[in-house]
Amino acid sequence: MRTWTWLHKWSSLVCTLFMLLLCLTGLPLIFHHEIGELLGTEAHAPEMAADAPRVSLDRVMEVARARHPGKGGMFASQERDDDRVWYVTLSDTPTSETDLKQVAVDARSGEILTEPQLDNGFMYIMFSLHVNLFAGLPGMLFLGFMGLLLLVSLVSGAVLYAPFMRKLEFGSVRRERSPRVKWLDLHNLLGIVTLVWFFVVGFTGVLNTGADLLVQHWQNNQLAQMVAPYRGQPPLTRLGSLEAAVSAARAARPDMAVSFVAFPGTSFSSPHHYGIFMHGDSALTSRLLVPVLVDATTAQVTDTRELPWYFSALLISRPLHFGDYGGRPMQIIWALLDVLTIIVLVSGLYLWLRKHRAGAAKEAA
Amino acid sequence: MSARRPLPHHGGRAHRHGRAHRHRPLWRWPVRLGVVTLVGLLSALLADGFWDVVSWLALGALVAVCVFFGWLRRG
Repeated sequence: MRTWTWLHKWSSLVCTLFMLLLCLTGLPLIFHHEIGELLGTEAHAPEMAADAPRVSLDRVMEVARARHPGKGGMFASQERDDDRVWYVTLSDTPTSETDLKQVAVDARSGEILTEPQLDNGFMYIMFSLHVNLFAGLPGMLFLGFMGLLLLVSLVSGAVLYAPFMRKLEFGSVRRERSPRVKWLDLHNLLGIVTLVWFFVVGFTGVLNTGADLLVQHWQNNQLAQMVAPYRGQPPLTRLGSLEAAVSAARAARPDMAVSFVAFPGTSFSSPHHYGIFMHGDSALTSRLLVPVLVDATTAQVTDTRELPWYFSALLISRPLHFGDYGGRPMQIIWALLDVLTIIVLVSGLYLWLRKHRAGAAKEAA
Repeated sequence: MSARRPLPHHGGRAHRHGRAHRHRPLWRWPVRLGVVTLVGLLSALLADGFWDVVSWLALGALVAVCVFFGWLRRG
């Protein structure tokens, strides 16, 4: 038991402030669409008949590129539940990491709806603090390590629940005793009730911090195999029709919808292919992706495969972190659980400070 | 704090038995709530419609338990 106490104390102490930051910044991220509405940054597709004809994707690209002359297409994506808007990301080169621009284009009228800001604004700050502390991959891996400590602290905390509760009924909070006892009981109650949820959200968060590495592994293996026949070919001087490429991908996977298109030269395609990533339409398959590689000149599908298990596992784990898979009620419950875990973190810190101060006072006496 | 040893040793099986018995009431609700959490997390992930509602009820129950025991129940 002494070991568990030590583990709980130190794993918690090291990660608590970072976990507080993650819980606090995660709160607005749960509602990023709703906050986007309030800030007026969300793309609003005007009402039209559901079967209103779509403009050609080549036209969509023309409109987006005209907004940022000199930049080329990097990605074009659609929200899972809204095929009326194309989000086009433009960059100086296909592998640029800075100075990216995004334009939201109405898929039916070809009009620009809004220009989402990728590198400033309130949500960008919340997102960066939550994901990498503005410190790129090292920041992300650091938060991943803090997440691992959280998991240690959750497991050791669950073990310590038993000795504390041996003489108490489930759910007892001894309010009549000192504030320390009351908050100890609350810490134990809220901690044990939210334990599994907190563990799953923490664990999937840790998985996400490793996402870049997993995706790189996939790029170096499956994707590299899929584009191998084109190795050594001269670079393209001009791209073929995106509309034709996407039509070919839709014909190859008729039961699926486009999630995003990676333009030739990005890390999700090859210098000679459009990488077209499709998703299914059931609760589960809408979270999974299937890459369809289309020759960027001839618009022929050259390869399509299921993603390997580790990539699929990563994709499936993401909603379990975001809480974005059960509509508005689930978002609200996610936020409430988040607030409860904040109380667990703060009360844990408070209990440690009280004990620490009591100990120091005893020593001084 | 130190955990009191459960029961004196009676050898393998008896010991395990005694321990499990002692722990059942203590862990009954945490285990039930853990199962409720998993049902809530998975049902909306694997299916839509009715199963979203199952998720809301299951995960909402966690919040309700916290609020009830933590703040509403007095004395």
